[in-house]
Formats: sequence, C-alpha cells, structure tokens
Amino acid sequence: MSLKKQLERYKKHLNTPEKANPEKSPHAPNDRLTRAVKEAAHALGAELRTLDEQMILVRKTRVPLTALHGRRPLKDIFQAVSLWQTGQIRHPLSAKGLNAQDLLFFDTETTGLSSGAGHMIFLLGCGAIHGDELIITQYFLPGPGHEAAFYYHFLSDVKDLSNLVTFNGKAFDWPRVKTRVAFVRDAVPHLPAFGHFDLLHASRRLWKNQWDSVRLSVVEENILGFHRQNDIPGHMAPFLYFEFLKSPKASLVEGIFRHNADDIKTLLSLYSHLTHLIHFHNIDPHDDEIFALARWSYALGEYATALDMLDQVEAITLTPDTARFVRLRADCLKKVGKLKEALEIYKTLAGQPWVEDPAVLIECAKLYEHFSKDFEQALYYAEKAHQLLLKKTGMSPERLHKVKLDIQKRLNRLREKINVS
Amino acid sequence: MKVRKNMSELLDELKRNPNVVHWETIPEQSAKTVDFPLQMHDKLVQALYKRGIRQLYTHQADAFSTAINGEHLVTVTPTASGKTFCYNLPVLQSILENHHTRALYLFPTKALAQDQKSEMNDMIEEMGVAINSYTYDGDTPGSIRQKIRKAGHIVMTNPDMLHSAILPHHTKWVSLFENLRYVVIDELHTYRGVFGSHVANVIRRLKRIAAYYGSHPTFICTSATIANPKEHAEYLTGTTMKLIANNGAPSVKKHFIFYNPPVVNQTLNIRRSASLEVRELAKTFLENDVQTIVFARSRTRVEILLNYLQSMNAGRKERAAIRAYRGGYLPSERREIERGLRNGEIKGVVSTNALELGVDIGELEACILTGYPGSVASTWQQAGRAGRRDDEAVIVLVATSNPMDQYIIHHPDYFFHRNPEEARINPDNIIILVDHIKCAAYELPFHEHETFDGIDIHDICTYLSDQDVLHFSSGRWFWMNDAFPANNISLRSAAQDNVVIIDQTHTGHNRVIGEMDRFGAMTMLHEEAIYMHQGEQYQVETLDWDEKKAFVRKVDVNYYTDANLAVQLDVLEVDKISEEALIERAYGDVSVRAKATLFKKIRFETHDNIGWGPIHLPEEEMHTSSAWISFKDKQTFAGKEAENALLGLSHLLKHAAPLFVMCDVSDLEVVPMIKAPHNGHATIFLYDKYPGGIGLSERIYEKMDVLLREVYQMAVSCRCESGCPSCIGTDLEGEAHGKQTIIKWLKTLIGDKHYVS
Repeated sequence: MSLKKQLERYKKHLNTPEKANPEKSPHAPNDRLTRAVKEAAHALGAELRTLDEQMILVRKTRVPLTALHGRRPLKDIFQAVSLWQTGQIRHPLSAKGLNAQDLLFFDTETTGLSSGAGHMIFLLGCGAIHGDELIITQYFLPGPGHEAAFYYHFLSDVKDLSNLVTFNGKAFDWPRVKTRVAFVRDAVPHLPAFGHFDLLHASRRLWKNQWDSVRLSVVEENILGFHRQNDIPGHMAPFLYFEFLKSPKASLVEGIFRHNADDIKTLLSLYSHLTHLIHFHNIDPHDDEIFALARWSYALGEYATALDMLDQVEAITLTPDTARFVRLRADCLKKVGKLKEALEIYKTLAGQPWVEDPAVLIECAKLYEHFSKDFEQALYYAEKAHQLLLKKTGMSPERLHKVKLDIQKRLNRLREKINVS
Repeated sequence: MKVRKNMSELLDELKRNPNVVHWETIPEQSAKTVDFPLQMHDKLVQALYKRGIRQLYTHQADAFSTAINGEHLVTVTPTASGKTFCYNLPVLQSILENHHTRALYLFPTKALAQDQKSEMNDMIEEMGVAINSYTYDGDTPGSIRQKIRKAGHIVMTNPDMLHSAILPHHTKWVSLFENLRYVVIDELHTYRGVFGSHVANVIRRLKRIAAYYGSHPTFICTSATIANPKEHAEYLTGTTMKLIANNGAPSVKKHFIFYNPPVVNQTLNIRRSASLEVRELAKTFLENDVQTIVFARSRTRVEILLNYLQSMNAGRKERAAIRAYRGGYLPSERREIERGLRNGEIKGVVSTNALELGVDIGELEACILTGYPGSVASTWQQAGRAGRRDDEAVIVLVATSNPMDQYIIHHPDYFFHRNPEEARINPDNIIILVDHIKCAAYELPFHEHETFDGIDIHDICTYLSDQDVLHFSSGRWFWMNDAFPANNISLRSAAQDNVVIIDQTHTGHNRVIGEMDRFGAMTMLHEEAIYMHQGEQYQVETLDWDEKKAFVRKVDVNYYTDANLAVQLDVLEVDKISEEALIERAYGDVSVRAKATLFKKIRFETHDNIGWGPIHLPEEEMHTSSAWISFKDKQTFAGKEAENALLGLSHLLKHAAPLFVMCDVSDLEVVPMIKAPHNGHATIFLYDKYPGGIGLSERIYEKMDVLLREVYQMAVSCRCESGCPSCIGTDLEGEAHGKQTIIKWLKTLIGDKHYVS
C-alpha cells in the first residue's frame, strides 16, 4: 500500500493536533513570499538586513525617558542606578559600578515553550538607554531559514551581554539563544559571556504569596500600575507567527512587536521599582514586602540589613499572623550572635497557645542546651516539640521522618546529659 | 540431626518421582578461551589481571576485534557468560586510545543501567584512569546533568530518555554526538513488538543526529537466544550486523526436568496447583543446602512462596536466609543478595520474571520454574540461572494447567529441539513512523530530498505540513508548532489517546504508573478490572473515558479479570491469499470495531470463573493488519457444534500463536466469527492489537502450517475427553467446546495442505 493511501486510512489514528483552520493553504512561491515580507517590513517601519541569501527585519523604536510607564516615568532608572552606587547593600540586583546605559533590557518571543531543538526565537527585543531616550531594537525572523542572518546581526550589534535585565531569562530566554546559536555557530560571532539580573526571581520573592502566578503582566498591573492597550497575549504569538509564515502580513505580527516593546519598558520600570523598594527609598513598602525583603536579606547572609528592615515595621502585637516577623527577627539575632535576645523571643513564641511549628520549640531546646547549658529546660522544649510533631500534618513523610529522628536524637542526648550531671 | 543429602542423592530421588515426565541431561561444556588481543591496552590488561582474568572467552575476543574495527555486531549468549565484556572492553579500549571518544549505552530499564554503571565504575577504578561513566535517567539530579552532557565518556540510559530528553535537546549534547563512537544496545531481544518498532525509529533519529555532528557510531548489541538475532538487530538499527554466537563460556552438566503435578480431578482434568508442588520441591533442595532460585509469574505468588519457605526455615539452628527478588530493587540491595549468595548466607531466592533480564545475581545450583515462562527464549534465560561452576545443576519446570504448559510438558522434543522464538518489529508502521518523523523534524529540519534512514518521507512531510505541523521553506521542512512532540509519544504503549493509569493507593500521593491505548484500556482498564503492573495487582476504581484517566489502587486478590469484547471485523484489503478446496488463508488490512461488554473474574491456578460484571464503554474502531483462516464448507462448519468448535479452536490459537512470534498474549487478538462479512464463511482472525500492525499477523500467515500442526498436537495430546482448560478451554457455563470436532477440523486443515504439497 502506498504511503499516501496509508496516511489516508490511518488518519484518525495519527496523533496530530486538531486543525483550527481546515482549508488548505498552498505554499506561496518564494519570490512572492519575499515580496510580501518586504512589504510587511515597510508597513512595520522596519529595516531589512541581509546575510548572503538570508534577510531579517530590524525595527528601532525611540521612547523619551520622560514618558510615564504606569505610575512612574522611565527616567527613575537613573536614580535607581545611583542608589546602588551610594548604598552598601550587597545584592544580586546591585548595579554597583555600572551606569544606567550599561543595562540591556532583553526579552524574546518563541514558537513554543520547550527548550528543545525544534522551537525557535522569532523576535529578539532589547532596550538600552542613549541620552534621554530608551531605544528599543527588535530583530524579527521572517522565516525559519534565516536564523544565520538573525543571530549574525543581533550579535554584531550587541557586543556586551554581561548586564542583561530579564524576566526569567536565566531559565528561559538565554538557554534558547544558546540552542539556536548552536545551529548557526559557524556563520555568526561567538556568544559573549552572559550576566544578568533576573527580575522573576526578585518578583517571586516579594509577591508570590499574593498572586497565583507571578507573571510579568500581573506584576506590571498591580505594582507598576501599567495597563496594556490591545495586548496580544504571549501564548497567541506562536499562532500569529505561523500564520505570518504562510502569508506575511504586517498586521499579523504588529501586535507581537508592541507586546515585546511593552515587556521591555516594563523590565526597565520594574528594575527601578525593585531597586527603590530594596533601598526603602521614595517608596513605603507594605509589611508583606518588608517581610519578604528581610527574609531575602537573611537568605543572602545579610543579617544586619535584615534587622534594619524589620525595624521599619511598626510595633506589632504578637498574633498568629505577625509571628513570622518576630520569628525572623529571632533568627537574625541568633545569626549575629545575640543569643540571649534570640532565646527570649523564641520563648515568647513558644509560649503562645497557638504555636504549631515545632521548629520554634527546637530552637529553644538548642539554645538552652548549647548556650544556657540548661538541660532540663532544653529537655522540656524538646519534649514539647516532639509532642507537636506527632500531631503535625502537611509535611512530606520523608521530611517528617527526618525531623522525628533528629528530635529523638536530641531527646536521648539530653536525657543522658541530665543523668550524668 | 538429619544427614543432608548431596546433589546426586537428590537427583536419584527425583528420578523415582512419578510426576517427573521428562529428564533431559545437557552435557557440560569446557571453556573456550584465547589470549588477550595484542592491541589491548596495558591498563585494560592490568585491570583484568586484577580480577584474576588471564584470557578471554572466544566470543568476547571476537566482539572486541570486530567492534574495534568499526563493524556492527550482535552477540548471542546464554545467561552469565560474561557478555558485558563484549561491549565494555572495546569501549574502554577506544577511550583509552582517544580520550575524546564517547559511547552511549541503552538498557531497557533504569535498573539495568544502574547495575551496569556500578560494574563499569569498578572496572574504571581498577584501571586507575579518569573515565566518566554516568547513568542519565529521570532520577539523575539536575546538578550533574550538565557535567554528564559535556564530559560523560559513557552515558547509560534507556530508549525513553533518549527519545524525550536527549535527542530533542541535542544542542546540549554536542560533545557526545560529535564523538559518538559506539552505541551499545543491551538485551536486544526485549525490543520487539510495538516497543521495538518505536525504538527502531528512535535509533533512526539517533543516527540522523549523530550524522549531523559528523559521527557514524558502531552498534554493539547483545541478545539472549532468539531465532533471528542478526535479522532483528539489523532491522532495529538499520545496519549490517556481524553475528557473534561462538559462546566460549563454560557450563556444568545440567539436568532439565519436566514435572507435571498429578491430576486431582479426573473428569475435569484439573491438576494439583503448581505452586504447591514448587513449594515441596524448593523445600527439599533448601533443606539439603542446595542454593535454589524459584521463578514465579506474579509478585503475589512470589510473596506467598517466600513466606512459606521462610517459615519452614524458622526453626533451624543455622537459619539460612531466603530472599525475594523482583522489579524495583536498588543496586545496593542486589549487591547484598549477590554477596549473600556467594558467601552462603542466602540459600534461596524467589523471583518474578523480572530477573529474566540480564541482572546478574550469580549462579545457583537449582532452578525451579513455576509454570512455563511463555517462550522458549525466556525459559532458557531463566534456566540459565542454574549452573555453579563446580557442580551439576538441576532445573525443574513445573507445569500449570494452562494449555501451553501442558503442551510443552508433553512434548519435550518440541521444547528441546526447536528454535527459540523470533523477535518481530515493524518500524515502518505508519502511525509509529509518522510520530517519529515529527520528532525528527523537531530535532532537525528535513531537507527536501532527505530520507529517514532510507524511508522516503516526502508524502508524510506534505501531510504534516497540511496539518500545520511542519512548514516548508528554503528547501527544508521545519517544525512549526508550539507543541513538543516527544511528550505526546510514549515508546512503551500504543499511539494516540492513551489512557493514563494513576495509582491512588497513597492518598495525596497519586502517581502515574503507566498508560495504555484506548483499545487495550477497554478490556484491561474497565472499572473493577485487575490491572497488573510490574507484577503488582491493582484494581481499577474509576475509568474516566473522556479524560482518559484510569484510577487504580493496589490490591491483593487471587484472581485476574478477563473482559469479553464484542468485535466486528471487516476486511479492507487482502494482501496475500492462499485458497484451497475447503480453506482460505489470507493476510491483509482489517477494520476492527470493538465494544467491551462484560468481564469475568478468574481464579489463578484453577482458572475458575468466580464472578462477572458489565462494562459500559462506547465502541472503538481501529485499522490494523490481520491473518485469517476461513472454512468454506458450509455443510461441515455450521450449527451449534461448529460454533463451539470455532470458540475452542480460537482458544487454542490464542495460546499457541504467541509461541511463534515471541509476543505477549496481549499483543495479538484472536477473534472467531461464524460468518465473516467479507466472505460469509466461518473465520478465525488473528490480528495485531496495534493500529497499522506490527508484523505479528503477517508472520503468522507465513507460518500458518506449522502453527496449525502444533495446535493439532496440543488438542490430541491433552488427556481430557471433550475439552478442558488445558486445551480448548470451557465457556462461561463450564461447557466444553466439542473437542472431537476441533480435532476433525484440524485434521482437515493439515491434511488439506499435505495433500496439496
């Protein structure tokens, strides 16, 4: 049986996605396609650049820095970068030693979400500050056969990639750039070293408890007060692009260009906003944000900074809701060696009738054992922790097992110490 | 204290046992060895010396020189013959010669890969060189994945990982693909049927990606004894293979004993349970300090046997341990069992068929098989576990009431003198092929005139472009879809719309344990079905047909379920036909429309029907290939008697056919029809239970003569009068199917042919 006939017969068994648009679109002849791409470039105000037989579209957009993006003007970025210069905060977002002009705000649009070899980037957008403008340069791939030209021009233009500002760039955009460049590596400049500020990471730290997902669109609406006009949602982009490949029309991809440019402006604004938040400068963070920032500093080993931040919280009464502030303060005090103060706070927490976390009791037991050398007290808290643990739910069985084992060891050791003395 | 009997005393006792129906003695064989090849690297020689190895077996030496010369090869060797050296030695040699060399090892399961990694790392340690050998599977931590991609000399993985994690991400594996010198495919015989057909296509993709990076790897395959190792390896890898079958490993004198439990119910021809007999036999061996391995078919049976044997040992002073061994054991646990067997701490092992795969737990003195394992090849593999270097070994096959078991036990000649089964695949099955063309296009665009390892793909690419999956541009077909194709394609089961099987035994920790095609799901995943997974029993609690999810929970019951499928078959196209006066045999494409109607609960061992229930599922349609036999004589083949006979004959064929094509009973369906729509005759169809067919029914058509003659033998040699579960089966009411009619028909079938030839 011929393949064609087989394909016909087994059609319903073949695992192909439902087609949205059943009518057949014949392949347009090459020169007609080329002409259509050129017309689209014209309509988009993009320039055509070539490499051998290949061509790409490059569109530059100039945005005055005085423009508002959401509630604040883009030019806030200058103040943000200068905050890093004067402050003493060691932080992954720190731009110490850099000018605002050194930052490259970077975002891509792809044909699919996986990082495998079959999905490509079709739009590379980057924004940089020149004078009093943000210049957004967008490289557009008019068809899959033009990737050499695409990366050749991008990499020739953008020589320094060490200060990228992205939203999830480390896990998403950059690995895809690496994969695609691997295919055309003989025809394009070498990929320069890559360094970056990932604003997704920062946003998750600050706001993950507030929203179901910390997406750029959610952050910009809620934090920056920026509302998009006629936005093309990101997940629609591949389908519009596939349509463009079959019949290139500017109207199909115009919205994607706009979406990408908005993303880049948001990256700039968000970087400014986060910097101001971290420095408590011109912004009054609400308590949840303060907690998140303090905990971030704690995680970075900046305990003194974390304590300073916690001091910004107005005097609070101890309730189940505010216990986390008190607990974090105790953790920080313990780390900076103020064990007595830490123990006092842990004890206060442990004395609350609603306390459910055995960790606080274990901290008490630890400090009594090793700092106060009061084994009886230590044993008292360890036993209480053990009882709490028996009621504890919501912990994974493996974790629970480990914690139980630890407590058991501690109990045995304390009992032994008490017997000896 | 009782004096222990030695092996020859035990053998004498067995010789007097009336249940022993056949005794085959396989003479010992001395080792055939040769000196290390001159070109073998000093470090390799020294490492082998450290292990006390001074020479290679002939097959190891042949494999070494063949592989080093860049010729593809397949070795066929019995259990425990040092097959790992067949690939490890040339691979290590090449890496020692050129540190950039890379090798990819494929094992059918994760466990095997992990086993081999330990073995390889021991060897590397003994050589004292910096060679990196890693396993790469779902359990590999993210932190070392990058190191493996960049610096792993030897990457050990499974075909599923290659398919969904390595090939689609080949740009991250440049150093592997640029330097890929060897691809090792261990346990080649396991790549058969649907799985094998998928794997053959994954290998086509692997070759294509390797070629893109400029490498053309040498394939080294190892296989258990099958009838067609060379052909199978060539089909699977698309290369010309050299067969290396000159096994040089020594073996001791072996006694292969067929044991048939006594009949306990004369009228129904029901025999005593095989498990009970195995218990007694194992007990005798173990009590006399004979290290024994017992194979059982299900995990439940393993546990029951284990329990019994352990309790028997409880009172003894020098209590010898009996251990269970089944799928899912960690390498460390296996090492412990191995060690225990070597130093005598462990006396017995009870295992599921899982151990058939080349996991090495060393050799024992006695091996007991609870029931015929289902194929000649498997039987020899399990039997291969017995054969300690210094003493005689004994293998006892204890038959169950199953027709295949009873046939084998009464026809030792058949077993000892026939070739083992063939492994069949069909890499060009259109559905499987299209799936992998998609994956391949995702990995690398197809050039206009490119072939897929020789297959013209123009029509398929055009088709996929019409479906908006590929996009043709600048002379190439590009993947233009936002999906990741490998995610939707599972190598282990059928194609489209798979039903996912979710284990909800542990509340809050639901996990997916497998998937099954819709067609199979109708009879195997309906509500209340007992689903077997890695030897464990699960009961299906809910089947969400629209969402394609089956929720199961672990159970421990003494029955399995068997669903009735009302099947309508229509012949679409006849490809091959041979017509005789009374018979028509043919092969072609059929459409199968099936509707599950009800299921039965059937007790293990006795095959008693202990309950039933209805199934409410919609009709499904599938196109596949089928072989069939039609009886054209309307006079003879009509009426109630003929109807029963047709059912009985189907029952026989269903059990016998897998013998010929080395497939699971579930890969092939047998359906009788009183009046086939295409010719109006009483017809038995044997069709591939996979859309498009995987080559099983085609082979059955070719071998129909042999098959029918065997089936005839099965029917006449059964001692029952009018049919029993051991031959033609019984229907729901326990009524037999007219054995004499079947024998008469079969005579006609065979005689007819004899007359013609």
